[in-house]
Amino acid sequence: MRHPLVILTITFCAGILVGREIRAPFLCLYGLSVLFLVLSILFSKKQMLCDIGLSILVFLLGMGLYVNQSIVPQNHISRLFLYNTNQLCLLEGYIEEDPQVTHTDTSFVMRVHLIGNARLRQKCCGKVLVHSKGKKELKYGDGISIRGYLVSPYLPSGPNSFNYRNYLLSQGIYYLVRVKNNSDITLLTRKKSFWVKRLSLVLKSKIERVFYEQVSYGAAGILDAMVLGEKRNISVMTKNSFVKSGTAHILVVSGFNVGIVVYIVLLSLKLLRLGRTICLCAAIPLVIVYSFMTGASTPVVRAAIMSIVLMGSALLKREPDIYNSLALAAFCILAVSPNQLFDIGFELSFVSVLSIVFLYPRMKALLRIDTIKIRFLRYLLDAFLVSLAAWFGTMGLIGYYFKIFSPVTVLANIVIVPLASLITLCGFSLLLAVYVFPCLAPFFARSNEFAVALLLHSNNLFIKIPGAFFYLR
Amino acid sequence: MFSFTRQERQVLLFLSIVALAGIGISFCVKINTPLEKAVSVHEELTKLDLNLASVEDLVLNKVATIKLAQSIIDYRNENGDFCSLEDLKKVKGIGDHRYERMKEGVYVK
Repeated sequence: MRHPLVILTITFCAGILVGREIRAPFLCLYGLSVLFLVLSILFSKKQMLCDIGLSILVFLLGMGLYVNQSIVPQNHISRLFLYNTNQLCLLEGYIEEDPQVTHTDTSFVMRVHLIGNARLRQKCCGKVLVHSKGKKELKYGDGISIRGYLVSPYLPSGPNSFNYRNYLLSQGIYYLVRVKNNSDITLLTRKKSFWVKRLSLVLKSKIERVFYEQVSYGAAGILDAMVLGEKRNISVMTKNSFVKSGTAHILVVSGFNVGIVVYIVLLSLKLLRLGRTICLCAAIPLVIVYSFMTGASTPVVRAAIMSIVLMGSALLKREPDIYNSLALAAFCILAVSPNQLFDIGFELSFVSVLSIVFLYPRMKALLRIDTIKIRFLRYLLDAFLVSLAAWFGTMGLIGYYFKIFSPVTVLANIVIVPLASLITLCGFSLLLAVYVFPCLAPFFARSNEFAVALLLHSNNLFIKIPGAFFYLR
Repeated sequence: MFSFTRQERQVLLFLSIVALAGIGISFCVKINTPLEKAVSVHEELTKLDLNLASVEDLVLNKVATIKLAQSIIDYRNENGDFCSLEDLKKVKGIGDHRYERMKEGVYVK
């Protein structure tokens, strides 16, 4: 079998899907898993029987993991019915994600360990999403105490509306906490956090500061999204215009960014004349740090795992297989969070990569692109085919989730994707300029600003083409 | 002459192109100031023109709810174009907090 991990991952996904539909008791699934593990060991010399046993085991693991993640402990916040109405309560815990601070609000995910009101206090666990009016200087890992109103996330207004409650549930968040005044948030301790993530977030804030100091606010927001995956400062209008042209994927950190990081690290270490093995070993932890910097979103984790597999195979002198590394990435993400299978980000990320990997070489061979002698034309057709392959793969999902169909996507991607790649590279070069040649930084900033302006102008032109997009209602 | 590898040469060339492009753009903007608008990211590219926006624009771009967007358009029809963003506070239902949020998505020429 050429792609064993693909088969196992598909079986695992099937297990998650079945686990979602049939609410089997966890202990029963666990018992069956142990049984099939024992059978696989017993029949380990008979390949066929062992493979069947392993496949069933992986299927049951998928089911079991899905069922297990929906089981919460006795003292979980979702079980404390006392607080499930809109009432004032006191919560203690620590900040689990980097807080999102805007001009008017501060919001963050908090892991709670104590809940109470004026009379009672009790230990609990679980996550809540806190919204507070006003700016508050908070960091990932801060231990805090807050006073606010515990409310359930709103339900969808119609059958086709976005289900915010389910979206938060998929992230393990059961309640929202509304804090009326940021003086109701008290800082208790600092630095109760994973040091790699803390270091990554410090680096991230330094890089963000460079962008916001060097270029205009609008351009910095785009650079922030393309280099660090942080979209909070992109206006809704800008996001909508990219959705209309079917190029919103450029605002997400993807495999390309991870590739650039690997390239920069390998090249820098190569300049120091270090050996290939040392270079590869150093690149792997830096890719992990970069994943944390960008919020460890699904596309980044996928790209990071795939690049680690590729670098690992180079270290071990083994032939890498793109399908197997993609399947491994999916398996790792789903093993940690089986709910990701129903997340649009996960689906789009994997479907687009899969369709490019599968369709692009076939289309290229069919049209005999390699026989074209004009290099520029060959490059243009290549870009067109990659864009077409990704569009074929994702148009069904985009139509289903966003209710939009954008025929201009293929054309727009030919221009927008190379421009976005250029901006990402320019963003990294601006960082290099600021720290290595500060006197040249304003000129690098000028180029960045221009490239972002060009991107926005081009995108606006594409969506103005008649019939560029239409809503499916 | 230099013992750069192909990759190192590519990186150096790319950095030189970015720096030269930046120097060129800076020079062009100095001698022709109106060019600044074309080479930089200004509000018109990322925000809605409050005096041209429709109810649908305001709602789709999450500037306001349907009811509030209608109030804004009604105010504009009755009192003429907005002269500044501060004028938004004169629309019924827009307080300081909501104004701070809304001004992230709109501009007035």
